[in-house]
Amino acid sequence: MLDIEQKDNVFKIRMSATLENIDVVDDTLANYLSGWDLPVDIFAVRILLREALLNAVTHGSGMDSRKTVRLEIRMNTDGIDMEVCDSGSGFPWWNLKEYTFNLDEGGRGLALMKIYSDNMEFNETGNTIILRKRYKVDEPISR
Amino acid sequence: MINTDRENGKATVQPAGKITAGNADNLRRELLELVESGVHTLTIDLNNVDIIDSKGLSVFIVCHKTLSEKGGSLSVITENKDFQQLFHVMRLDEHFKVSSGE
Repeated sequence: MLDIEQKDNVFKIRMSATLENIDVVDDTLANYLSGWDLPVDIFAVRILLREALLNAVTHGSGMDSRKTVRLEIRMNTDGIDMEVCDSGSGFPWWNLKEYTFNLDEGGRGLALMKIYSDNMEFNETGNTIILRKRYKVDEPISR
Repeated sequence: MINTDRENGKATVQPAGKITAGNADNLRRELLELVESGVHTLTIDLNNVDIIDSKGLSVFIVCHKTLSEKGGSLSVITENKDFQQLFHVMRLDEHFKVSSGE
């Protein structure tokens, strides 16, 4: 299952928790963002979406394709807000340690999201992540 | 699709498309098979690659570690500035060479 609904500046996506759906969502949004000519780092947005969805599919849903992952993307006047929610029980995000860039260390996905976003937050239980990527300030917003 | 050109323990591999969670395991297996078969100097050319995620990055790390244990080396070629920055911000370019290939 993969439902992509777009209305004005908001995308709402419901998808079965599969890796294949991550690729389809990423390809769809990358095409959309390229066409809309927003002053945003598209690569950064793709990394953020992919890593948030990957965590939701693998950790939040245990790779169970019967489970649903929800994604909402909002193109605001000053940046893009992304919210990814899974049906899992969350994780203790408040215990997250600083990533140390050790090659043996896990947590590379969370490190990427922290580096490439301007803001990263979780809901209380940790099954929803909210990411923000601001538009480049030196370029006018064309739309 | 992976094109491989190998000679005298050196190989250049050109993956295409995505290096992400959906296919990272296959790529890792193919690259480690190359190393097991005697390749000690491995170059991965990313000029036909569209996107890399955290699982994809782990493939490079495993290859680097395996090659290092055998006295070999990994290098990455990419003209894509986003990929160059990705390896840089994750400090992977401190462990293996990442260049534009020029």
